[in-house]
Amino acid sequence: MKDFMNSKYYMVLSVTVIALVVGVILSFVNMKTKDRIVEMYRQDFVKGLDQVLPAYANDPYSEFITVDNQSVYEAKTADNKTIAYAVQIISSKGYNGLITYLVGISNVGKVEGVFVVQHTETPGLGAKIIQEKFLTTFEGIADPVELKIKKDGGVIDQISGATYSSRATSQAVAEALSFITGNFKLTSSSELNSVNNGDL
Amino acid sequence: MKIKAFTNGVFKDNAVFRQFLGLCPTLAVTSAAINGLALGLATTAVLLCSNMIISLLAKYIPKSVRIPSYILVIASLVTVVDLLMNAYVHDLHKVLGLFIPLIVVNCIVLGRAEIFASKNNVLDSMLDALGSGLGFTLALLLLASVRELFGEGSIFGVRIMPEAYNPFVLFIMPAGAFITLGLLIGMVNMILNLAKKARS
Repeated sequence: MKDFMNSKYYMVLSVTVIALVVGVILSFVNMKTKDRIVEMYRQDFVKGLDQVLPAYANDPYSEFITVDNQSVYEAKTADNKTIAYAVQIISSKGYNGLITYLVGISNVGKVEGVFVVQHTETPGLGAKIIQEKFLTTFEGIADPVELKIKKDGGVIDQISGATYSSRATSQAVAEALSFITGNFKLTSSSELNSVNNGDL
Repeated sequence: MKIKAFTNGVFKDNAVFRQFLGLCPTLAVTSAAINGLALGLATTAVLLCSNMIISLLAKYIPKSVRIPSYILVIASLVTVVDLLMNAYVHDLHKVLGLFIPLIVVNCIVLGRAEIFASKNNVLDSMLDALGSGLGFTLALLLLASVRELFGEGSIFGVRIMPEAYNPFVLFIMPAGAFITLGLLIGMVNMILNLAKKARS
């Protein structure tokens, strides 16, 4: 026995056994948690849709449409009129890996809301992009030129110490806005204004 | 049962302040008190399980392959913690997600396995793990609280500094981590020296 425990076969055998056992344990834990993790991410996403869309009467999560390989989630009123669109934008311009955004655009082409679904930005710095204080500054903007941080000539206040993350967010919102205005027929807000002016 | 195994880990052999082990996560996550606390507790949990398992297995693992075997055990434990946190404390996982896998390469865990758990019985190894884990958690919490206090004016998100205080962002930047850690280590050494002098 002592001889066997010193042999190279035992060396291979012991590592193999450990690897097998931990492999089985890992696959078991993965099996048990997989569905819950998927469900958690789904809940995050629905929470995000609630944030970026105005109150809706349909189920945008399951009724999404696909335009140009991009899923678009539509918020509709009870009489089936689309009031806003939400798109998911994945940005690689962050400081640390990919950032997934949900951006809501209203049917007059204004930013309705921005939500960060997933990110791995630096805690305490870039991670502040999830704060409402920062995300609400995008709301109501209709001009993509304004959707830049102040350093780049726009109107968005960047988070100090997190220029990359702030810039990535602005670009993602601008991308969503141009995607929606480019692919959907919107009632443009200037048209609305001219109608109003005509009335006056 | 050696109670010394516990106290040594907290004070005399404190992983961060006395042994300078595990500095990568120490410097990286301590930008907010909650992150420091959470990573400390996650590390303690992994440390406790790994010390327990390794003290049980040590006599069956050949010396020449002990490091790969320990790494296999530790990496699997970390993955299990990662999956469980993702499924059950999803919001905390979103903040810490990036740093949980880093526990694998935290030399405290491997260090305690190699130095202590492989040579001692299960009970002592668990005490040692709790001591080292608590010491690590306290160090992270202290460092993170100081950085959050000066860098954001708050601790655990609760505003401590007066409104007029202008946050010193350097403290939550990476450079601030090094500066704060250096100052804290200096202070700990100063207190220990004074205590030694007072005793003699």
